[in-house]
Amino acid sequence: MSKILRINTREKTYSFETPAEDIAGLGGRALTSKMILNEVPATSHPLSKYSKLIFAPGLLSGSPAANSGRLSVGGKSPLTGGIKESNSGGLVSQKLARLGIKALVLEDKPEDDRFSMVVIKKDRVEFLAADEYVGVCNSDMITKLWDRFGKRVATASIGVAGEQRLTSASIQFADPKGHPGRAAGRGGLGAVMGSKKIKAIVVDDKGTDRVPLHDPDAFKAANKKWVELLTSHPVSGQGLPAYGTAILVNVINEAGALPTKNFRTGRFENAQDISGETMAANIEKRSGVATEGCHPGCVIKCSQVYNDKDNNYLTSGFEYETIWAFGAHCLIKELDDIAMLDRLCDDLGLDTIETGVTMGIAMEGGIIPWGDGKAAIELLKKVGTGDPMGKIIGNGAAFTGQALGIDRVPVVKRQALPAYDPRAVKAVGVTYATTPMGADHTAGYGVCQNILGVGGSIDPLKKDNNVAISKTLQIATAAIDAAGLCLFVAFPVLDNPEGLQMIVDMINARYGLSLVVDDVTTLGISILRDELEFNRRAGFTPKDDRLPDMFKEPFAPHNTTWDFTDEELAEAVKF
Amino acid sequence: MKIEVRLFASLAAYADHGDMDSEGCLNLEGPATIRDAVLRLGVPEQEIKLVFLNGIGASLDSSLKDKDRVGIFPPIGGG
Repeated sequence: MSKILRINTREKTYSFETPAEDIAGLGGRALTSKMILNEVPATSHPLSKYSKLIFAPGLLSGSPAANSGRLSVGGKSPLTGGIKESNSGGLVSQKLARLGIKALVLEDKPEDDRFSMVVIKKDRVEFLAADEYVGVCNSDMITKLWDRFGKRVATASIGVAGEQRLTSASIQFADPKGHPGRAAGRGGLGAVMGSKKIKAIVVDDKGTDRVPLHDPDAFKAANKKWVELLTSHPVSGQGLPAYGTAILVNVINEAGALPTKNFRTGRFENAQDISGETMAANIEKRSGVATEGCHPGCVIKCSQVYNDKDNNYLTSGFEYETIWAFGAHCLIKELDDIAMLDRLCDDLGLDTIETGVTMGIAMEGGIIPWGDGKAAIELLKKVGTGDPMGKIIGNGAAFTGQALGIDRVPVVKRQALPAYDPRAVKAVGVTYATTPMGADHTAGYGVCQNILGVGGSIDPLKKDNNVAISKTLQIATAAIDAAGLCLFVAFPVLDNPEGLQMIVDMINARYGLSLVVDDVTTLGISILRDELEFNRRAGFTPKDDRLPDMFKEPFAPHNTTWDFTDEELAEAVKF
Repeated sequence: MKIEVRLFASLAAYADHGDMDSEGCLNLEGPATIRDAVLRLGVPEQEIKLVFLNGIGASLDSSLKDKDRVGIFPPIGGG
């Protein structure tokens, strides 16, 4: 049976334990959220010794199931003060699963300021001094770790933002090519890792056997259907591989929902310049890589390598959300400047959504001019230098807004809103307001039904049915995160009534269980209940499930407002 | 009537049609629907998934009026 690996970062010791009965059947987000609820006092400081940071592969991670290599990272968020599950690709999830590690838990904190790294191998766990790596950016860190431990090892590392415990700090993961383009970005969990003085985690699965399958034939049959489902759907099989997630720039702009100049209007006149189509054309022209996966076994391959105009590597995993945050939100229209900002975030170890929104707040406050990409790059470079402005920027939108005396700050639970205006994509607005994560589109991606015509069609501009669909999606998403599946499997699963059954069949064949589709809903609800309970104990009330006043203003071009009542919003998280 | 037709992603190539003017607009004799516009440009109907009329979700049967803005997409997703 898989074990829990506990690392005491103060004593520099470790122990393996058999999971208790109530968590033995859990994985991914279900496991991180349950353990955080059980083990971390909700009122404790996220950077204190009472706080914990948990890495958990999903239930299907490590198996041959397509797109199952996603990792859940859980903790108490230094940004929101609530529970956090931040989800990432990379190599850690599958390798932990192959090592039989159900969860890796960082506990306590050192009394001195010396950084360490943890190296996990088949037969041992080592603490190594990491003083020499302090201040090293994530891309160099991965190079150094691969040179030292071998090119196939999985890595998780923090940049200077995490070292300095800034609340936008991410944890970055090497992708299969060794680029730091994969992140547990949201919620500042890099600061928690920094508080425990862990610069990096290396996971080496050399010498491990394949993950055991209870019924290999049944698994193979289910996975075959699963791969066919993912590759035959036009979104996961064609759109995402061809254009990446940035394909959304034009459609969200066309729908009048692309938040522009800090959520003032829904159309950006330079949308085409920062679109997925422009990105794809540049990649082709500059000998980049148009399509690649964030982990082995991915068949969707929405990631890419984006080169500069001299054909040199600039960034990878160049996502819609990032392009929007530094682009339309800040009125920056030069895609190469946005790519540089993405690269800097990956290297400094910063969440791109939080940091991009923050950059717009800096523009709102007159620190740099609107639309000035070069000034944004210079400002971002201040993070980690000791310049107080870098500290402000690295602490996110709410903190920066406060520092600059601004009331127009798009956050929920102090976490910045992503790339869809809640007045024009109301289902995702309900998710922003009510998810225990703080404003987070991935927690219940109502863009599917509101804009993309996937999983049905619901008017994005009216209130009708948008609370119900957000609730349904929040439940389904929590379960997908527990399985270790990429959230983009939802596009075909929402459109095919057999999709969920295939997931259940694979879990059953992996573990020898007899789950049914209804159990997926039950699991999703139980995860959300745990997360809501943690937040309740941390002091959150329904009053925290609200959007800021700025969204009461009419939003062009459709001139809609945010008009849900408190009672209507409460329904989204009533179980 | 003059209709602004915006074609995206894999459909962008159809905007090359000679009937489109330099501003990306198409002149149609009214009354006309969005289907008439895409047929004129030779966009295969089966490749169309999302249709927007002035930023609001529409269908190929939606009627057009002068100065309308039409957005046409194949199936796409992301996030």
